[in-house]
Amino acid sequence: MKVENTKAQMRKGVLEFCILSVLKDNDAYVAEILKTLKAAKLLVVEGTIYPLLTRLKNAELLNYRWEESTSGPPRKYYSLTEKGAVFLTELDKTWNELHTAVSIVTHQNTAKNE
Amino acid sequence: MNKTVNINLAGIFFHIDEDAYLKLQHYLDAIKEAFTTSEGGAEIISDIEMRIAELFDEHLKQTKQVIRIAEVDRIIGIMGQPEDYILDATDTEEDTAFEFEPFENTKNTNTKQHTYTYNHKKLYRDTSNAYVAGVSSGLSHYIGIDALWIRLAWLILFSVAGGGLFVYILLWILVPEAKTTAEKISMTGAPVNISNIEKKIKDEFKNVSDTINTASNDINEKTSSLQKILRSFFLTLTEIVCFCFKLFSKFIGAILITVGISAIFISLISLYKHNVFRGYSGTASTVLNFFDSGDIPFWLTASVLVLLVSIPFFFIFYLGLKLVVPNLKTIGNIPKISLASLWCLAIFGCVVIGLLKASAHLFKESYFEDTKILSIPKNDTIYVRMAKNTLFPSKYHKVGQPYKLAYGEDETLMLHSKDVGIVVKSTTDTVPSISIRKNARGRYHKTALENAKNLIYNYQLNGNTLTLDGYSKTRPNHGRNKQEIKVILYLPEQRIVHFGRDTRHHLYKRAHRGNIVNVKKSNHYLKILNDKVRCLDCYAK
Repeated sequence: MKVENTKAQMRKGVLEFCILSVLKDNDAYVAEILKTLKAAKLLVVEGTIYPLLTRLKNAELLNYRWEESTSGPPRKYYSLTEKGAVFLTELDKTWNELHTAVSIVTHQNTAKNE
Repeated sequence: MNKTVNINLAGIFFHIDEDAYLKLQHYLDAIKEAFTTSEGGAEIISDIEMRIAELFDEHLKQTKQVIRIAEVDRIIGIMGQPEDYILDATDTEEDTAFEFEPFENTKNTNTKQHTYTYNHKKLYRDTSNAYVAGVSSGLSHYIGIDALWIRLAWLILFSVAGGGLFVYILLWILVPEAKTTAEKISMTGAPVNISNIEKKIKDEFKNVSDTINTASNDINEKTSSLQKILRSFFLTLTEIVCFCFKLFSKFIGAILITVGISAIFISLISLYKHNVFRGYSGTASTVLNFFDSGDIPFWLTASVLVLLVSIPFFFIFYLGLKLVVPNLKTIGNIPKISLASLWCLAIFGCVVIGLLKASAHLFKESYFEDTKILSIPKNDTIYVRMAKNTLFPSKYHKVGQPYKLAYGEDETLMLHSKDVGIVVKSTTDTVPSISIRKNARGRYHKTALENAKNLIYNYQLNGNTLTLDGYSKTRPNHGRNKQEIKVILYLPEQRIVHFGRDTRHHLYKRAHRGNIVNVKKSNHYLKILNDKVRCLDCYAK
């Protein structure tokens, strides 16, 4: 078992949650989503996002429209669907529960060790 | 020095070094390989290509013209090797499968009703495929019929009812042009037409064949051969349908070609005939007579009419040719536009000519020649005859055209008009007399009077026989101005008169305005009484 694999899997678990969160208030095109995720160091390579976006779109959590850009090719602007919004609140709840759960568990461990 | 290659990445044009190109191609191929098995693979690949194009574009703005291998390396670094995210993709699939399922089950009823906003079709003018303003091609996206048919419908509408033109112009003004890509895509939407169904079927077959290819190692050969049989069956079916449709469109095309060519030929030939034999009395020359006002040169009127008729038929011919030969090279926009504007000019010309024609006959004037005494011995019967007339033969008097150009006795070309009427009145004078009234029309009172004055009309008196000409003459440049001649005969009461059979085309049908001899009284001996006649031999017959 490699540590890199585990790290990658942990990131991936939250990646979909994060993509939906980025789109919570504003529609965005891929480069904008990438910028946010890369700034937060959630992504290492950009290619990862495309299969995820396609899957989210096929699950009807996301929707996209084409928009012409002033430079370069036309852009796909992604937005959250109603279903996606419901999905996101659910994930949000789970994340908070998970966060407290993990912090309680890890805290206990460090407390025991001391 | 490096050789460069031109590539089209997500619709954008790039110069790229050959070695960089090979590397990029290898990279994209690897991605394709990695994604063929996963759902929505084609979409992922096109998204990735688009992102690469975007990154290239940004890079080019900062630096030079050509993409070098270093740039490709940098982009591969950013995007990551396919293995990196393929591993991600399969992993997350396993992870998310559990999360998605309960959610999908609860919301399953809603998913079917869901539609994407970009699927809503909107009506735009498609100027990139436009002939005139893109109305037809825009409608074709909206309705889902090939633009050719819509254009055809427009042509028919234009020619049958002028209202079609009004509707077209209204659509031109009201329907916005599809400018942005978003508009262009929402314009296309997902039309249900034959070509799309065909495309869809083909796409599905492609998918089927892809899965066969990718999964052929795992699936046993029986199913794959069954699928192959099914596939080939449906392929042949679509081929047959396509063939029938093509045959039908070719048939329509052939009809259009025939109609277009023959209409153009007929219009040219009838014009030529008219030009050579001015006496030819067909529909074309009747139309030309209507438009020939005398003010406008004949060739101008004729060419305007030919343009008016032949240009729409040329387009019909062209459409037919396009149906028969689908990959026909287009004649280009400049000829199309110039032909269309020429046609508009022809319409304008017709209107102008019509107005000129109408105004040319605005006023009617009459010119009276002095009354002349006919010296016929007192007790002799007066015989009235028409002069022999080859120009307007008696047989065709009613159907022939009213004007003819012919050479007169003095070898000059004269315009002859057949409108000659005979009015008979009784008089208490003891001698018969004749008066000629010449009528003509003109743009002004003065020209009308001038035209009337210029009419030449002859008659002859030989003993007791009065011979009248069956036509009046004028110089051709005085034109066709509804010239008419009224021969007014004043005959003393108690005289006996005989109108020959040949006068019947010139006598009036009814006795009116003091006229006492009508058509029925021709070829009889008549006794003039006060304001009437008595037929002397009517009972005998």
